[in-house]
Amino acid sequence: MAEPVAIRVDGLAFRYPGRAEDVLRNVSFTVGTTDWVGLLGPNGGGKTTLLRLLLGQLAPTGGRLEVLGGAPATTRRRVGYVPQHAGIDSGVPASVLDVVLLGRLSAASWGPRFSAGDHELARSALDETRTADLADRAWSTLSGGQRQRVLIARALASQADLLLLDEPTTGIDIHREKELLRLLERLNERLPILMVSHDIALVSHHMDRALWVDRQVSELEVGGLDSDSLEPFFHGESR
Amino acid sequence: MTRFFADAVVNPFLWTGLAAGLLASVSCGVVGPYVVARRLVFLAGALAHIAIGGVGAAIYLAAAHPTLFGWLEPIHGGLAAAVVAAPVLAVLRHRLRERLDTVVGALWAVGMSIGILLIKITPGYHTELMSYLFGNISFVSRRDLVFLAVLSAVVVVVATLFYRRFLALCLDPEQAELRGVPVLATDVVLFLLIATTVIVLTQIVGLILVIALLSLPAAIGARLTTRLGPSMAVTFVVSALATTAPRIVVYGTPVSPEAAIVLATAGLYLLVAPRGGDRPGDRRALPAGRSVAAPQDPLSSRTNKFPFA
Repeated sequence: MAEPVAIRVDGLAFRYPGRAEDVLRNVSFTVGTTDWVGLLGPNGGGKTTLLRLLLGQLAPTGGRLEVLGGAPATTRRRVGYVPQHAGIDSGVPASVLDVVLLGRLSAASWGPRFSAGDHELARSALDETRTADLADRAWSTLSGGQRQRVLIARALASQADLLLLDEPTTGIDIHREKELLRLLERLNERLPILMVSHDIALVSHHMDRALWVDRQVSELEVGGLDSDSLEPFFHGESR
Repeated sequence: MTRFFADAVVNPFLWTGLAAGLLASVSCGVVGPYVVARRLVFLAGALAHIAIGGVGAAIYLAAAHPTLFGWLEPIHGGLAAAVVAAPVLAVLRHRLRERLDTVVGALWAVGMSIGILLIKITPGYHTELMSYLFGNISFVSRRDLVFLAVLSAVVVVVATLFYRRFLALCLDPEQAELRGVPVLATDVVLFLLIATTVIVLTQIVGLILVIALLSLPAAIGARLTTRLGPSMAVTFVVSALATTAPRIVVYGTPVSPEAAIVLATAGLYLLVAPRGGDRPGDRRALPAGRSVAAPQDPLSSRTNKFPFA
């Protein structure tokens, strides 16, 4: 019997309209339901495009893509996405709880109030990410590390079955980074995680698997991963 | 001030003017915070100026073809133009990210030019346009009040229905889309509400000054609160004060009440705008000496990152 998978990508290709070259071509990989997979690669290599394809925000120009057993556009409500830069406008008067409750939003959300059940899930997600004390704080007052944990809480509030994170440790100090990684380790006990990172040591120490994304995708040996071992990939020798 | 209340006993227009201010404040309180939060002040200004084209068209049609359009009020034309323009601007905002200001600026000027052109070719002598450009709070009829009340009620009902969706759009449109909210369609509804509010405010300060009432009270609300609901309440109170008190104070003086309303609102904004530019709530919650704009820590510059990242 085949292993259950959270993500199955087979011969995937993507090209932006009007461009001459594929951003991604012949990409194949799977992510298991207990995996914590790091996506490494140079800037412009297609990591963020890959995440957007997995979220159903872009449609592949070739190949097959399955997330949580279905087409990404139909399953993305079950995917918790944490962007590199929170798109949340600090000028909007909103509390942390307001931000987390966005995870409970759906196409059926009408009227001014979220239900008691939605509030309960949001509070529980804040508890899990140890940000419950921030619930009533203004979003604009949070530090970078706090924001990342709150965004993870938002993803959890949506009762996600898969976490996609785009460089969540960028711009936060080492102490907060460790806290965040401990949180992700805990979450990985029940959720598969796919995480873009530029931090080789972080990927090497914490993740089960690593994928190199530079137009194509190659599996990396996680043990002993360092910048020297990535040199051939950086220069395209491994393609 | 006492003269206002003495005259109000015999002049019902003084009361209808105040009532119009309060009704407009309701729409302002509901829609203004979204205009500021979504950074739509420029687009709201464009809607107001495009509405001038509709006002001109209504005046022309009523004068040139009285049998067919004699019933048409200038404000109906303004409303029609703003309602047609609202979805167009919403779509442009989604499609034209880089040249949006150029296109919107052009529409702004074209709308106003059409209005002026139509007035120029309208048979007879017409002064109505001036009252739509600069407001006419001194002569709000009961019929006008009913019109304002209906528009304000529509704004409140729709905004209540869409509250969570609008908040999601203000906070994080990408997340809203991922959660299944149709972002463009929701923005179209928001733009239609803004168009309606522009028309409501036209009676108070005119289409030229409408931007002030749509943005300044909401900016004050955003400064003083940390959640959207309370921000709307503060915006309503500020708008209500701004549209009534200056009218009473300058009554009987040569000062234009419409200009006084805008100047008073701007004065209130200057009073509450903190000097550093951050919202007061931001400062309260942060340790002394730490800036909201720089939450990153120098320790984060690790050496183990890619050299090319």
